[in-house]
Amino acid sequence: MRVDAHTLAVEQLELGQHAFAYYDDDEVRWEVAAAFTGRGCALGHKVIIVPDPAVSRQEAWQRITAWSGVAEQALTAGQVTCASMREIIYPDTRFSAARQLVRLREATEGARREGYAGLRLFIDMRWVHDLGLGTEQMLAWEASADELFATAQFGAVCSYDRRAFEPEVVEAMRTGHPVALLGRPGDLRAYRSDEGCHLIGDADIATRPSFRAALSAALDAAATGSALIDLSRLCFLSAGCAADLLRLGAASGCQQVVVRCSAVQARMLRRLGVGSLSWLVLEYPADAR
Amino acid sequence: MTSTRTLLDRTFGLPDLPALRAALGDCAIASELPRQRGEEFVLAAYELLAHAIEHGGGGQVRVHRAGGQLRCQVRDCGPALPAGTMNGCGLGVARALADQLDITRHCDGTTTTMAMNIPVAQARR
Repeated sequence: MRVDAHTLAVEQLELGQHAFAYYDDDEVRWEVAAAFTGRGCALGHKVIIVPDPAVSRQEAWQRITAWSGVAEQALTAGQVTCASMREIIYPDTRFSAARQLVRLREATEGARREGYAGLRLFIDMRWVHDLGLGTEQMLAWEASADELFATAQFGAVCSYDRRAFEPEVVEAMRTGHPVALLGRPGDLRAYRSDEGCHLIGDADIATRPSFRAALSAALDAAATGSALIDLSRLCFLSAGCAADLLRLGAASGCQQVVVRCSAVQARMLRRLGVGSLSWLVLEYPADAR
Repeated sequence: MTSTRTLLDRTFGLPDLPALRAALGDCAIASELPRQRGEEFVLAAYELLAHAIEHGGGGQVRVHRAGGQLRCQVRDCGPALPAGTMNGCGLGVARALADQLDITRHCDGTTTTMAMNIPVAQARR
């Protein structure tokens, strides 16, 4: 799917954010859920998972715990729970967006009373078929949920099976959510804007060819001018990929390469010798200098 | 007596790297390493994993908390490299980031152990 200014990797998702996710494969479907759960457990959040109604809870547990050792401990401690949408709306049997908001607000307050920093909710949106919801009702629910995120005590991922929803519905959901997640943890995607080249996800041994290709295209496009390489939405940059950036930048005809990055990335690039390169400028948060 | 708490113990290959990185990040957060130090722990540990994949196709990773440190031990089954040859860009970065890095060669592979100190206030918990 398309990536743009509101695309993030799931590992970077925080409380207060409402994200769209997608899958079209029964293996991949668990990866975003598991990464979201593992990170939430480590951060001291309560996590509720609402899986596809056709999937057993046992399978959901197994898939989630296979990802994170922290999540495995949290499952036994009750920090992570599994629920169906039918249970969440009980004793009602019909879905109501207003009632759902009340229930989720209560669940967030309950998590806070239990001592958790907040509540994370992962929903496989296949539940809308189980409860017979139409597309318009689903869109209305997604739009009405904004107020839940205002306090930064609640965060949610709504995951869409592309095999179960029309392409235009999935795209409307992607653009309608404040955040759209990459397809799976470990992915690397890039897009170009008027500003420069933006990279999202993980730049590592597996994605190194894509990383190099995106950099080469951006440097070629800048010709002898200035190029901006935005690494700030990478959740991982390996030393090998960082070294590639320096090699490709040096070999390009660019007069200047501006690298927008995190403090940790800046420290690694300095260790690789950025300080002696007059054509490269690091741009990173001021409080980390 | 120093207690040891195992946080992660897995075999791995190339396809496991995204899950392992997420799990390493979770271990750093759960051990209360400061945020930037936690990111550096993931980076240094990843470089050990990548080295094991490049030289042995994979291996076994164990993360544990002991003696005020968060430690990551990676064992690969690749051919033992001669002393002085394990100085690639990735291992150089890992060495620079870690508070401690030890490499032990065996007849059937190499074990690399990297440790980061947990700040005293957190280590007492």
